[in-house]
Order: sequence, then structure tokens, then C-alpha cells
Amino acid sequence: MAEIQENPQEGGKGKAKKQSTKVDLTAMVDLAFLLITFFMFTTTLAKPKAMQIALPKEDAPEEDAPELSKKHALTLLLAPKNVVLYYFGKAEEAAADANAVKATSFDKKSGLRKVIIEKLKELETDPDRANNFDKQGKSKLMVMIKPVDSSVYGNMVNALDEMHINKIARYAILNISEPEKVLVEQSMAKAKESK
Amino acid sequence: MPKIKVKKGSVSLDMTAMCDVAFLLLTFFVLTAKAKPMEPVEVSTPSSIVDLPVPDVDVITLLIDDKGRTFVNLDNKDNSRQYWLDNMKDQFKFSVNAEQTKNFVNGGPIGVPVANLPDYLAADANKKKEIEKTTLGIPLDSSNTDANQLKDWIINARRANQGAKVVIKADQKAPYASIKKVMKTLQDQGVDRFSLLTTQGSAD
Repeated sequence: MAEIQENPQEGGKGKAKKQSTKVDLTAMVDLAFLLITFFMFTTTLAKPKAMQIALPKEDAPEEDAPELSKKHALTLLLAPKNVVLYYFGKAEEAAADANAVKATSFDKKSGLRKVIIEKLKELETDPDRANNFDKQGKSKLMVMIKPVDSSVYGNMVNALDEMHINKIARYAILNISEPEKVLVEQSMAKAKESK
Repeated sequence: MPKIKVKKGSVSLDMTAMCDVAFLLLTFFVLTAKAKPMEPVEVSTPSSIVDLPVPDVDVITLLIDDKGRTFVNLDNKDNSRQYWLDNMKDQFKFSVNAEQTKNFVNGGPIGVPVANLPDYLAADANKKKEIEKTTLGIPLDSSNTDANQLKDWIINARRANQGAKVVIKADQKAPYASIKKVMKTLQDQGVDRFSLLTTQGSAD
């Protein structure tokens, strides 16, 4: 090409023109950043994780259920608006005693986690400690999670997550019973009144 | 006095280093990229501390959005979606042409009643979006076993891919009532173990 463009006026001096080695990279950089942006938006860097759960066999006879002492039972009722109601021991007794059912939240410091940690501590320091742990040294605390229909899925996962965080081996998702539904309604009504 | 001469700076910059960085990043993203699977509904899963990875194949995904609508999906390993559709066709006695079959096999989650399935598969992209927006999801009336089509979708998916595991991918705002129905449906078929899809979070 250079030969063709050669200036005839230079008259065969035979001097090769020095060409610049610099290439304009602006367009290339533009393109590269465009592609980066595209891939950044289309990739999913955070891979989803899975939480395994196993539901109890539905047709399992009632007698097969593990024996549960009153001391080791904790029931969580997941109410709407991120409220958790909880009580220890048996449902019938909790329904009869107005102070047995308490409300808490999913707050990471003062909420459900605190309740569980305190209960675990209580079992740990119990004079009858040997009875609170099984042969593998795991706490015998059994947490029953009972969401009401109007609560949201996120709360259920939060509650299950607390089980993982506190390393509770025994927990189950169960259907809520009628008296417990009443308890939830009562506490919702109470919360409304106090507002 | 000599005139103060303002030095004229060159406007062209050396782009080489920038270009290098840009392509390095580009290479990184190209190599790590995995296209987002297309899903008819946006679902933001709750976070948890568990870190078990989810398998990419052999999964039946149940998608539940914030309104409680249910979609079902099966990955197309060994052409299992084809068998899945064939099984559903046998059971519900509907017919689809080659085009619709292709759309199904290459498609994603299904969230329409079986009666509307051929129409849904024949629809173009715009109409498909419209249907996905208005559909109520797969009917799963647990009180009436005939109306519970999710059950049939799952039975046939498990027939098409016998090693498939069930994963529930639900929105954190999904009402528990619909989760309960889905879990009940699974339990009725002896699926006692399944996974809940979450995003990785920290304990505090």
C-alpha cells in the first residue's frame, strides 16, 4: 500500500516512512466493557443452596411417636407479621394458662434465638442433666414448628434455620391444632388492641 | 517578557493497560458464567445458613411465587421431558403437535392447568408471557384429589426420571397455606424428603 500512496514529488528518495505503532484501543475497550456488563448481569454468582427436610410419615401410628417429656417440648406457632408465639410443654396446659404463651420475633439478638439458647442453657444446668441428653450427647429438646396458614414461607425457613444454627437435632413441622389457632388469634387481637 | 505558552496536552490516552484489565475481567465472567435459567416468575428465596449445593440435573423443581401460584419443572436429562409429556398425554388424553412438543421439551416450568396446556405450548413469546402473568398456577385442590394436577405432574415426572429429587423453590412471601398444600401433595405420594431452596446467608 505504501508504494501506491507514495508522493511522486519526493522523487525516489527511497526513504521509508516511519509508521506509528500506536493503535487506538478506545473502541476495543468499549466493546470489552460492554461484554463484561452483559456477563455480569447474566451470571448467577451466588449458587442456590438447599435445606433438606424430612416430613414424618403421615400414616405412622400414633404409638410410634417418640416419647416426649413435658420438659423437653417447645412449640413455636408462626403467626403472621413475623410474630412467633412459643410455649413449653403441653398444648392443653398452655391454653389454660394465659401467661404460658409468649410472643417473640425473628430478631437475631433478642428474638427466637435467645429463647432457644436460654432453654438449652436451662437443660444444661438442670440438676437432672443426664436425663436431658441422649446417648450421643445431643440435647433432647424437641421443637415443634407449627405455622398458621396466613404466615409466610420465609418465616418457616427462618425457624428451620434457627434449628440449624442452634444445632437442634429434633424438630418437626407439624400442622397447627384448633386450640393453637385460637391462641394465635387471641394474641393477634391483643397486639391490635395495644396499638 | 516571554509569552506564557500553555502546553497543549495530548488527548489520546494509552489504553493498553485498561484494555488488558477489561479483557481479563471479561475472560473471568465468560468462564464463570452460567446463564440464569428462564423462569416464568420471579422468585426471591429466603436465606439460610445451610450450604448444601443443589444438583443441576435430576431435579423436579416446584416453583411457588409470592402469590402462592405453583409451577412445576423437570430438567431434560436423557430427554426425560419428552417422556414426561407422553405420560401426561396418556393420562389426560390430549394431543399436541410436533411444534408444541418441541416447545415443551425445550421449555421451562409449567404453570397452567392441563386443559390449557396445548394452547400455552402453541402461544408465541408475548402471549406466553401474558398467560404466565394471569395463570393461577397448577391446580392443587387438596380436598378434591381429581383436581390436584400437581400430583399427576409429579407422578409422571418421577416416572420419566426415577432418580429425580424434589426441590421446592418458593418465594419468601409465599403464603404458608399453599406451601402446606404442596407438601401435603408430596407426602401423599410418599415423598417425605425434599429440599428447600435458599440463598446463602450468615447466622448474624
